[in-house]
Amino acid sequence: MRTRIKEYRSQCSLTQDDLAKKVGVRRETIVFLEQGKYNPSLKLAHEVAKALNATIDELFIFDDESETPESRVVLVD
Amino acid sequence: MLEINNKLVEKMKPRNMYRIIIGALMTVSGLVLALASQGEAIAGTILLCAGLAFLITGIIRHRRYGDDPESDERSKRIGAYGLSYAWLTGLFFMTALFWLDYTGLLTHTTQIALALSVVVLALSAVVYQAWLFRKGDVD
Repeated sequence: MRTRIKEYRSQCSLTQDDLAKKVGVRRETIVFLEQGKYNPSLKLAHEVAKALNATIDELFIFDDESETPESRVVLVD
Repeated sequence: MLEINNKLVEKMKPRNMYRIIIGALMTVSGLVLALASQGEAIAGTILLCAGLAFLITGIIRHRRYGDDPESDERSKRIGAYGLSYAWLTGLFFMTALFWLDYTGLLTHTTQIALALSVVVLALSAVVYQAWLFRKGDVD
């Protein structure tokens, strides 16, 4: 999992401490979230997205390793 | 000076304030009891030590966390997992102690077995939690 939290946080001119206070967690949690080393709960992901004026999909990117060209389904009219 | 003190008190969490006040009261009470008791000062000493522990804990937690949350979902998750791993480690250790004693390979008194078990449980909890905090998550 990768996150774009740092990018959005910079756009909002927030420090890690500011964001942590906004969502009610410790600064360390924001640090590990930005590094993609912590899997947040849905509630926390939602709170972070709300604080950064973004959606969860925009902030959290999951690298789908199982997706191969053959497994993709293409819909044709 | 008064403004600085007011700011310090304002920012301190009530929990830490209670710890410091109660710790100070217990420390003073323990000291008075230890000095005033004729003969055994054990009760006073225990009260003094407990009071100091409360006081120091309150001060350290205030300096470390200020008005930030002391725990959040990540610290609670890591804390719970660390304690679970420590419990399992303690279980394996006590089972090993039992079989070592049963087979006569290593005999020990109840006191030593309990003391070792407490040390293993407490130490493993600290180690597992420290490792998980450093790692970032439980997965």
